[in-house]
Amino acid sequence: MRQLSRLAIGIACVAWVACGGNGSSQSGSGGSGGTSTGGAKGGSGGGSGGATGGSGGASGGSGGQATGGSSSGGASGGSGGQATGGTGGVAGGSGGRATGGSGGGSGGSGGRATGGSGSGGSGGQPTGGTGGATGGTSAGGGTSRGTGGVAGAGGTTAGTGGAATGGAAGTGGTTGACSTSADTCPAPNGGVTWNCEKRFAYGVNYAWSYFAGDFGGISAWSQQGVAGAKAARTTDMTDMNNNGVDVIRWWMFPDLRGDGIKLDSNKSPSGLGTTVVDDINAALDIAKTLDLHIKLTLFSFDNFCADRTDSGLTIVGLQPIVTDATKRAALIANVVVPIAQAVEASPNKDRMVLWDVINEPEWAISGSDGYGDQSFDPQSQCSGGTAMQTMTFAQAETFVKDVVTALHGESSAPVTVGSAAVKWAKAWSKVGIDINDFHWYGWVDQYYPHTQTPTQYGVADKPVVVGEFPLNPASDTSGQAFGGITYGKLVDDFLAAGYAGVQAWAFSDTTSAAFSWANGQANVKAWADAHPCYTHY
Amino acid sequence: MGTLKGFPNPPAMVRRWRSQRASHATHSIRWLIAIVVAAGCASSGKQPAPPVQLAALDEPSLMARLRADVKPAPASALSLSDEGEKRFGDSAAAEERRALVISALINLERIGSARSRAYEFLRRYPNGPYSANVAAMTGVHLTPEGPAGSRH
Repeated sequence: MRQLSRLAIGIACVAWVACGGNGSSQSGSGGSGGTSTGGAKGGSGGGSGGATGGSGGASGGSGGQATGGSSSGGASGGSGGQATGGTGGVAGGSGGRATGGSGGGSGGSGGRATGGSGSGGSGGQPTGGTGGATGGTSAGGGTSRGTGGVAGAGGTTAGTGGAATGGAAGTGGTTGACSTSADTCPAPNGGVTWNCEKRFAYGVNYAWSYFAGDFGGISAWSQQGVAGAKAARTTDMTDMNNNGVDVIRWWMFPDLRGDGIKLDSNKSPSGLGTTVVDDINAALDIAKTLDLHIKLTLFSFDNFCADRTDSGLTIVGLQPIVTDATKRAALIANVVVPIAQAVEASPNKDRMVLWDVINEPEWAISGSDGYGDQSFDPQSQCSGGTAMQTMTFAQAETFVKDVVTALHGESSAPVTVGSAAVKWAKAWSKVGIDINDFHWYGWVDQYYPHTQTPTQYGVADKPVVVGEFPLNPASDTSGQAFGGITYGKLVDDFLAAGYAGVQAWAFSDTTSAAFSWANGQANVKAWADAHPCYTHY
Repeated sequence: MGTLKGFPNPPAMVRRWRSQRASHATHSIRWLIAIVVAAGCASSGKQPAPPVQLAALDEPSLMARLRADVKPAPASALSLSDEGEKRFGDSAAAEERRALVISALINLERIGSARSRAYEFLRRYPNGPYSANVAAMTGVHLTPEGPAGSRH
């Protein structure tokens, strides 16, 4: 009988293999250091200042204006950050911005501790008048010094008069690295550090009031941007605020139906709509008033739907723009850069906690990323049945990298990509983002359980935010994903697993009970009330 | 002996063995093989249910098989759904059939296809009994269209 049993076991094993029984394994990777970003806020010991001042103006009696170099904050021990470059001469342009290295994280094997490299300030404006008088200051970053920026170029020859001295060298940082002891309630596990406060970035997707119309408006449909409808937007954001939200993910241009992005006759981006800057300022102003923070999402996979007409408007797809080097450069120069500059110029720029380059780009990408992830699985069609125009991963990576570079060049806020799933964990690992961001709907949870940690998914090199998940996860009744758990349990699990923040979907989506704010807002508030400190910057 | 889950009728080889009258030991071994093979194949999700003449199924039978196959045999569920679309179209069971095919695509990890179908499903059945599950599983949220499509 014993022989019979052994035989049966043997047969069972063979049969399992023969039938294609498949096991699964999760390969974990060693913990790596987290990245923290943030400008300086108190503390001591700054990053190095601008290395040298810009040179003076050109000869001939015209006073050029020069900018100081930028500084970069190095990083060690997890508290590095982004440092704002020093400002140069009195009227000089601002210094370049440098990104500090990433610090070591807890529980991992230590992060990169390299100092960032500074970049030189831009040359002065060719206006006459006095040259720069004093060097600018720079806000330091991490605890170890980064390299100073290179000198800014002098101004070109310009008008008459004015001293010809350039701005003095920027001085060292006057404020220092983030001090752990100064943060009164750091997030216990993962978190995003902004202005020296490590918080569980807790919030909700707005995600729009007018789809693709909040920044620039849609005049043909009588839809105003934030500035023109400030009272209504304030009402919405007050509702979010009253329910414990701190970070609001807000979509800007998920398609080009609005007036926010001007196109020339060749369908190449030529500039921003007339109200975009005002709309940005209004959004930041509301956030300041209500003590909220904003995560702006520039684009979406929805942009890659083919050209179509809706209610009298022609909506142009983005695919021909991002896959054409000239048009892509125009998009960066005429859209992305001015937006980033508008945020940076705002007195409320500290409200801008995170840039999100694009929402779920994977649905518009064909092929694979070549970094070991599974192949992409693009949608064949968009909402409304329009065909999806896909791009290759190489095209997508180039586009995203260009946007990330532009944002880093103009803004001090960290940058991420709102990836559709951790299934494509490595796709955006080489574009220079500061934060990882993965969305988590039922299908994701079915294959990639949310209880697994960022380290287990191999993405712990940076903080990992969950930028979308269903506000009412119990709507999954299949039993294959969230398993009927509540919002509170799901967020508890994300927190416990070490994720750095969550933004549920969504305040404005009334199309499904799974996403209904009306159904879910009490749960959002209850969780915030139970975690009152580290959920708010 | 009851039927195995996923196998309402015993496989042919089981029936053959059932009719044989061999020695007790040999009989036991063969049953073990049959059980292990059947259970292993059913649980692996790799093997479809025994072939059936789809055209011979009435709609209730087709729906019953579709429900049974959607998780363990999603490829079979797709075939059943296609057959149902062809023969029964917008019948009373269409909404469930179309929701099940989205689940089958997810179970095949064909998420782009599932999402493409989810847009159409959610537009057609915005408040149906399966809509919240489809939305939660796929993450699809409809894009507002036209002046009336946005929230004030």
